[in-house]
Amino acid sequence: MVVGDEEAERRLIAALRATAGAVAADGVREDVKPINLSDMFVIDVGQSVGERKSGRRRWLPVAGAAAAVAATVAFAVVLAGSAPQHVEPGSPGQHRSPTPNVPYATTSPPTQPPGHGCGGFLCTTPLVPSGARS
Amino acid sequence: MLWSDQPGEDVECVPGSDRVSDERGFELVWEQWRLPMVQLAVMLVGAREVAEDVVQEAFTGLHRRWASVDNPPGYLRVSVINGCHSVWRRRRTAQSHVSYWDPPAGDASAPVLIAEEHREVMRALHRLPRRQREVLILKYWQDLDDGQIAAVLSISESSVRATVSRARKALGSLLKDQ
Repeated sequence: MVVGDEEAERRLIAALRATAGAVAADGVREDVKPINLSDMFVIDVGQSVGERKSGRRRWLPVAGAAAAVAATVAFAVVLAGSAPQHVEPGSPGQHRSPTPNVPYATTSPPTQPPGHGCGGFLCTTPLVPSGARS
Repeated sequence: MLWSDQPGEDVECVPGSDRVSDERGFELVWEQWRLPMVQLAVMLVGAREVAEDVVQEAFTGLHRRWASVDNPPGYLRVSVINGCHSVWRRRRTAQSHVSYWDPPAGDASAPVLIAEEHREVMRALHRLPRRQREVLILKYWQDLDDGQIAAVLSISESSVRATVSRARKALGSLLKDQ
């Protein structure tokens, strides 16, 4: 036979109070309280808890984010500069395929600074004669 | 919200106020609310050790955000409930059984029989859906009204009333009439 709503409510209240009383009788574990909070947060923000509460900005995360952005931009620039550019065979801008086994082929010592005139920022591939294997 | 500063004396404790330092204010909140929060967590998750861990996380978060929290007890309550939600999610994921915490049985006398009756009710409570369990505990243990329960659980007051009604019926169906 099921218990009515009011009876269930009455028994629930009694059970909750009894449970709470047992918890109180056992006491609360001491390490439930966060202790040494100043030490806990020094590593977190590089400042003591007291300094944090004065409203000073947390500079470490900002610096870290800026460094990450800068590294990402630099990496993107490197990728863009090293990507092979499509040029017509025999054009002045052609440069050899970045294949390790392809021998380096020049007919004369380079007379200008490294670079084959494609305008690539980081391109240092010397000019190769037209018709050379790319 | 009032917290006791001196024995028998209530003073208003507002985070960041000049009247009570931040650390002292936190101490007051800790002294006044540590036990109720552990009691709430035990009722929600059933396991004492787990409940204390949840409460520790809640107080740690409160301390971290002390300057921006207007209502520390409200923050703690929501934080404890959210922490219990995480516990339940981990239980479902791990499919592990956490034994329900048993209060001290005492000697072979009336307190033992009373304790068994209450354990039966708590076991039935823990068989209810999570939302129904939360609503019943907040209503009948924390004595919150429908509006306060709605704010804590981020639901409407009508949902609270409907959930309470369903929960009471469900609890009654789980309990045996003695």
